[in-house]
Amino acid sequence: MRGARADGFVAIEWVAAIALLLLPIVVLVATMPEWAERKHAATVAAREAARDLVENWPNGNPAAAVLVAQEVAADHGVDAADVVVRVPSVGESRGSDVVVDVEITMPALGVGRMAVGSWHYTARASRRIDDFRSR
Amino acid sequence: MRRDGEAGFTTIQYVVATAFSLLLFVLVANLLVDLYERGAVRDALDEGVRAGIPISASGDDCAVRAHDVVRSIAGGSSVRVDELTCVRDGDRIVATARVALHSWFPMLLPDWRLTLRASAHRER
Repeated sequence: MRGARADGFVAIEWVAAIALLLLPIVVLVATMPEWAERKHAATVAAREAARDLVENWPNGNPAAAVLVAQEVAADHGVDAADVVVRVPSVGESRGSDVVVDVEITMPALGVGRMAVGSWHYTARASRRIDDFRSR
Repeated sequence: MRRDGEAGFTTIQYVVATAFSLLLFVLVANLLVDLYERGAVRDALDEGVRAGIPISASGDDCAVRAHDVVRSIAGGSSVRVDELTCVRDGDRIVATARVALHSWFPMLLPDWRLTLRASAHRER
């Protein structure tokens, strides 16, 4: 009886290589660009929502700003369900800041529509109400 | 003489595995470049609609700016802009682009065709 036969080793090596090397690389390559894209989407959505509030000051409507942020996120391929918009400040007076936070859900690991786990990224945009802005 | 010997099989396996690995590597690189170009076009549309926000700006300002940005950050032959339009929609300006991202292996994968959009409220 030989103790060092290699029968079947090729097949085992092939399966192990795919499972331990190929799949993790593919999943990482598919996941990491999405983090960058979603981070960018959150930044743009927060910026546009803040601009909407400043544009409509002093009658800015946070609910409308939320819709603006969700629309921008949708343009970047992010579902509304993955976006939470908060408006900590609508700019109470001239010289104050409008502040908008956009929290976006990131897939921890994801390929296409399949995702496992998640984490959250929050982008904050603030714009100053002009000191001499007329009402 | 054994007819089912495995002599030479490892070499064949090595060549095949290397070929598939390199092919996969190139496909992954193609995917990454495509994702970059998709982001670049989205960014260009964002820049375009921002150029169209001022009350005195027209749809042409938006389209020209978007084309400029696409050329500057995703120039070359790997992205083809089939159509890029900016239109006013009420108090908003909407930019839409139909693009084709070229496949590096057209026989394996077709070009990736996308329709991208960006919008912003115009100044009043």
